[in-house]
Amino acid sequence: MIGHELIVWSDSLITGVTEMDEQHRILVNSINEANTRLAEHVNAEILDQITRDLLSYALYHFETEEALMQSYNYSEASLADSDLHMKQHREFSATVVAVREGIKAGRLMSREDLLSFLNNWLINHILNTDIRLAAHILVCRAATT
Amino acid sequence: MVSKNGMNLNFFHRYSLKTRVTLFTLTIFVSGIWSLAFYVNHLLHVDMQRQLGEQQFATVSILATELDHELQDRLQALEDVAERITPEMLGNSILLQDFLEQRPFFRGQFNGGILVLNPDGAIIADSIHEAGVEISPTDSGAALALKTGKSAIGKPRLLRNHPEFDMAVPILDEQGNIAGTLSGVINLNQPNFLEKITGHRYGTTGGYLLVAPQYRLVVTATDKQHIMQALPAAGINPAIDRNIAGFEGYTILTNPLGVEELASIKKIPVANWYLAAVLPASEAFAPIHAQLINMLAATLLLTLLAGSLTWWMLRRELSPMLSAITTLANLSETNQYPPPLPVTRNNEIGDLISGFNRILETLWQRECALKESETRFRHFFEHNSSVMLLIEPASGEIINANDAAASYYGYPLARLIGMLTSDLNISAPEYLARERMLALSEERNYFIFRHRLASGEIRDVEVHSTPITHDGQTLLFSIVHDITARKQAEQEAAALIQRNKILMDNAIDGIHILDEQGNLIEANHAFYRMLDYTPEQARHLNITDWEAKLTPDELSATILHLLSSHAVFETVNRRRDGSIIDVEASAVGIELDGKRCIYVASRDITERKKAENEIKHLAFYDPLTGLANRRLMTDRMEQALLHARRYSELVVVCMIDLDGFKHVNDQMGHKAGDQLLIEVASRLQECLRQSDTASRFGGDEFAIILGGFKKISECEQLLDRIIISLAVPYAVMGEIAHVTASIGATIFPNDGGTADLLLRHADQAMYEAKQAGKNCYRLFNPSHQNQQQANQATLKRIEKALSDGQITLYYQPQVDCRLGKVIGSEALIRWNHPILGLLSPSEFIPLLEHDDLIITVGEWVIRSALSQLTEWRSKGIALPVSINISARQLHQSNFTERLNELLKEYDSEIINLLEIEILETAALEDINVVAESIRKCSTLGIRVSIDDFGTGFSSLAHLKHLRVDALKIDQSFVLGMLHNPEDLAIVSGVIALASSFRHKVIAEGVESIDQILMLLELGCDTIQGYSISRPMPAERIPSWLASFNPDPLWKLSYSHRPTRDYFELLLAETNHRHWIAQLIESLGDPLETNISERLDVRVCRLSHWYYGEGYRQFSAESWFRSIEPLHLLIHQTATSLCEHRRAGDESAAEADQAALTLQQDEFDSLLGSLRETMAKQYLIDSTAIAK
Repeated sequence: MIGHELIVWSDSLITGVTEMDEQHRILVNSINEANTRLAEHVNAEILDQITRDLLSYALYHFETEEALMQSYNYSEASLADSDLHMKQHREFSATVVAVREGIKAGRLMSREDLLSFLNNWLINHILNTDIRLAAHILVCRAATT
Repeated sequence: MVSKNGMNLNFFHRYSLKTRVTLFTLTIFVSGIWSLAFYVNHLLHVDMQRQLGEQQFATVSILATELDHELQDRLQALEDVAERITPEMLGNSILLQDFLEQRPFFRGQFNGGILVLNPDGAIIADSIHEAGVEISPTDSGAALALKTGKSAIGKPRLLRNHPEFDMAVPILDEQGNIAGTLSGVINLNQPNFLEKITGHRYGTTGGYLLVAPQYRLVVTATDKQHIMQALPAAGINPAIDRNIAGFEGYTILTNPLGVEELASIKKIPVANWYLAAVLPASEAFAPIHAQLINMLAATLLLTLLAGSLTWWMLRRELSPMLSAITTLANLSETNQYPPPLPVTRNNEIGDLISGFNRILETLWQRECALKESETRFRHFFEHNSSVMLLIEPASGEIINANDAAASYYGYPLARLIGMLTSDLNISAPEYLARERMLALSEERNYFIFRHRLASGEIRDVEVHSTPITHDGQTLLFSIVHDITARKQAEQEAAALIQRNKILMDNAIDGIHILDEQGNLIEANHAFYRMLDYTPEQARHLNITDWEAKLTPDELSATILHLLSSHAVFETVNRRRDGSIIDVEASAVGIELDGKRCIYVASRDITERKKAENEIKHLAFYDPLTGLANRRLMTDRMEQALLHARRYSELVVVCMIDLDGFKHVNDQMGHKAGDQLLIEVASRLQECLRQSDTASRFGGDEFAIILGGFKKISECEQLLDRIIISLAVPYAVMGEIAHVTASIGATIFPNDGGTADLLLRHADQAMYEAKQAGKNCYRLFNPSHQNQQQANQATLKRIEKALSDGQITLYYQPQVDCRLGKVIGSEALIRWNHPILGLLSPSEFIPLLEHDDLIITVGEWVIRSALSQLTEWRSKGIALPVSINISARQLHQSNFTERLNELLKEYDSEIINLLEIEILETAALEDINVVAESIRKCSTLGIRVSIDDFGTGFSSLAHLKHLRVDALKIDQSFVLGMLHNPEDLAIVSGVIALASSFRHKVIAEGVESIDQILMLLELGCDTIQGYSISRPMPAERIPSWLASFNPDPLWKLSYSHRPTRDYFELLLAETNHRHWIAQLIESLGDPLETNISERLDVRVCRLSHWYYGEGYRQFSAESWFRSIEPLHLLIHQTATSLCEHRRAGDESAAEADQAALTLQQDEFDSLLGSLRETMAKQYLIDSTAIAK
């Protein structure tokens, strides 16, 4: 389990699709920043801002990825992967929304829970799911050039 | 009390003890002895009377018997003779006469003669030759014998002056017929046999009486004059009447002559007479009288003897006391010490006299002391050097005075005595009289007067005056002291004090004196004025009350030092109102009344200090704008960073550069430029808070430090405000100048450098802002910058989505489940994202919240909703729509104006269908503004409700302040209420609160029928959520409305009994589920008693339902009976779990826990389906009833 360590950006996290990698890097930075900020104290304001940033990230990043899926006909190539990928996106958004609902009702997610969710999601998603999409895209791109 | 000469020594004085004792003794003695004498006499009298009477009766009885015999003998003799008389004799009187002549003895027995009478009563023969004597035929003995044929004694009678009576017997013939009588006559005048008795006296003067009671005649008596005397008629003398009636015995009676006699009576049966012996009482009781006289004489003698003896005895015994009394009586007339009284007796009187002696001795000693005291007083008075007077209190006359008085007043003593006090005293006589009365009553004994001497000089005197008793008279003893000199000295001292006071009070310096503890002892007016106290208020002040610079420890050290030295120093004082003044003080230790003190003269130098500070100011402040200069800024920054580190706050360091200032300077001149800079500085100050620092570094370069933030967003808002404020055109020297600001900011501790480094980073960011197009700010943080860019990009996308029509409204119906009616809808925004699909507002609205785009979106929502309402109206649908208004939009200053603008095209019918929802958290941000907005909305006819209620910690006061229409319970609480008692508590709390404030209440996010029923039970009727309907596009609303049918289960809430059971079960079930969850959760803490207590199935709420109401209602149902075993199993497993956990058997505990979770799940589904069954049953029942 990835604890409270900051995520070190490494080659293992690079998918090879520049747009995706740039945004992943931003996400890693954001998670690290959240880690730092939550280390000082956990309160509704900080969680609100972090989750808001995550929502923002989800919007543009998922849009980027899903737009790529569409343009590279990912669902036609691998429906199951495409569906799983999008399902993971939706789940991420739903989780973040749920965390925000909790904040609103006074139930603050602990730093450990939030960080472990984010770290797990990020690592799992990038290493397992995004890698597949990236592979598909890279294949497509290689084919067209 | 014995008066001096009032002692009466007359022995026979009626009050004399001796007299009284003697008389008293004699009275008792005499009355005793006399009573005894009379009693004895009485006894003797009675006894003697009895003895005499009995003796007399005995005598008379013997005599009476003797008389009876005599009479019987004579009658016998007559009968003997009568038998011998033959009828021949009767016919021949000579024969008969001879016969009688031959019997001389017989004849001798009758001294009156013997007669023979024929049956006709004629005398046939007579012994005394007196034939032919007629015999009374009626009551003579002869007549009676003829008549009765028996012997008889006749009535005594006087015949030929002879008192006589006859005794006769009949003469019978051979046939026994009466042939005549033979009678013998007894002449009572002649000696006869009766005289044997009557011829004697009884006693000396007494005698006998022979009485024929049948004739009330005395036959004969000792006193011849009584012969033939008739007794008094019946009823005159009761004693005689009693005798005649046949009394025998003795008695005391009064005879017809009135003489008291002792008489004894005895009957003589043959004649029916009685014999009485009488003795006059005077003779009979003569011995008794003699005895009585003797006794009286003896008694009298004894009385006299006793009296004399008592008198003599008392006189002898009391003589010492009498002599003591005489001595005492004479004592008061002499002044000599009295010789002791002689004690001659060793008894009580002796003791009494000894007592008198002791008293006399004491009295003598006392008198001696008194005399000595009087002598001393006189000596004291006369020879005293003080002026002394004795004054008569009423008149004020001087009764006595001493030589000192005479010489003081200058009058000869003889003249002074007799003067009145008013002659000496210059006060009014009436006043003096009153003062004397005060002295007399000892209310006051000290007086100050002015006395005039003989020389006419007036002196001040002090008079001590007390009442004394002198020769039985109450006088005032007055001692007079001349106090003229003292008074003068006092006046001079007062004048000196007054002069000093004038010096003190007119001094400009605040002069005051402190004691060793720093207490204020004395101060002048200037001091009080300086510190703004009145002398009264300052009475208990201590230097710590006004010294504001030194700490108490420093202060006591300073005081200690100053007590023995002097110093001039500056300090700070606190005035009464708390204001602070600068003070220069000179202090010196002094000694006052033997105590060490400090004399201080202090002066308010605030003004001077201010002038000095102004000079200092120039070193730290920019002379043009008055802002801090770089030097001060750096200093302040260090402090701010220190503070921020300690309190984990943010500090923002900003560099500001004006855009276009060079242009102003070039075009309008340096003066205008300077004016503009002053204006910029003032606008900056306006934007900042007290704790912030603004500074000018020179030229158009400013720097600011903002501290005390917790959120970066807060400082972003502030920076925005500064940008806007500085961009407003400037009026400079009558012209308008345009400049804007580029701001670079860096945030500590995110940027954790030194002050210099922070300033450099801020400068760097400022250049970025310039590059980014000026009139904006840039934050130094690169990661933040990235995020910022991402956020900005998102905003642009949403803005585009809005213009591309990707944003749309969905509507979610709100239903009153009690009435089964749709009562409204909530408009919910959706982003129909071309790639990500339909996004809920919670996924993108938060990104807009801090941007004005949210207002654009909000206004779009209002417009859309209004046009939707219009469209629905054309289809005949009037469904109220509530829209969400963001905090940012609500807090816009022109919110209501904008709203009004948007509503302009619509009529009130549409407007009234529009409702506004504002978040509780948004409402609380600025309660007054929001309250005002709500009020305005109400006047527009728009209802307002508070959304997500329960999330914002509203106080009741807030709720009162906000005049909203409804409260919407936040869905997170609704969602959790069946599992989490706290959520349930919040839900029921909100409902109760809404009810108290008469607000409607709406539950949103309701997903199950259980929740609906629970909410209905709790009193919330209006429901919104998936259990009613998901939000839907506007075009689907008409068909949904058309097909809307209230769920029959809702009716459970208002049918009477069943709901209760259903609800009770639901509540018990909820409770049970929560308990199990809690039990599992709290196993780390096995001592959690509250939970382990409930292990007992008997106290379980579900058991309460099951064995109570449930059992009553459903015990016959098979489904009901299936609850019990599973329920018991759960409790068993739970108990086992707790025990295993407590025993530390973790593996067993985990197995228990897994089993328990499974059992509880099974239980939940069992109860859920049971409730369903129950509900259906009710529905069937209620339908049946309805039919």
